[in-house]
Amino acid sequence: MPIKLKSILGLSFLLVGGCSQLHHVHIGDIDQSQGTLTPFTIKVNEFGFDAAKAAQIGAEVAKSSSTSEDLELVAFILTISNFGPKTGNPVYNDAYADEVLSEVIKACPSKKLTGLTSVREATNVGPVSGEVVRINGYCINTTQTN
Amino acid sequence: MKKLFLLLTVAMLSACTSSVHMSQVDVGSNSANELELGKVIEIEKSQKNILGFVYDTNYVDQAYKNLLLDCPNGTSMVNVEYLTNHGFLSWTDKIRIKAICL
Repeated sequence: MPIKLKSILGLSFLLVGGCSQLHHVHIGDIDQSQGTLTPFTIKVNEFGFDAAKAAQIGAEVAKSSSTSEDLELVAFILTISNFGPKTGNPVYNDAYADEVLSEVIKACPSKKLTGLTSVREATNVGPVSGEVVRINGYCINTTQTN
Repeated sequence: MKKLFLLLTVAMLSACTSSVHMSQVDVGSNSANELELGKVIEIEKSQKNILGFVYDTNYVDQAYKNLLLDCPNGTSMVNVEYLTNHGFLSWTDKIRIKAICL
């Protein structure tokens, strides 16, 4: 019975704990004097997974003490093997945000940009997350005068 | 057999994780903010950390100097990405700069 209660409590925390988290934001210059502005958004994301945290949760809800000990050892090995500063959950592809520059250029046919806002955020559900880089901005639509 | 499977799983999961801390795009403040689509350059500099001990602490300055050298007339757009590649009791901090030279 206590293990069942623990499992339910753990699952509830996972479900209730799903939330967005802002890590970093940068707002650039905004120029409204050149013409009307059309907003655009570029968003790239990658699957984030904290394997050590998942093993730790597994150790907490394991039925037998030997399994729990094994999973705690796994969590420890994963922690020391993935050492270093983390923003959100670790990802298995460090190049997922490499294309934002070319995507931003493609987003504006007029090639006139202003008000670029760069956001680094994540949507977390326990040890799993969507790690997101989002760029919001405006294309300047210049009016042609003769 | 079970332990071997567990060990292999751990080995696979512990390989090559990374964390992107920041990725920002900025446009230059030229008169009409018009992008002059010149040469796109890419610069990457890194520093190795072993248990928090580092030797080359000026990798960001080096990246900035390279940017100035590669784009002597300035840039119309810059993308800066700061990330970490994790490893066994060590990690590598990286700065990646992509820019459009004028």
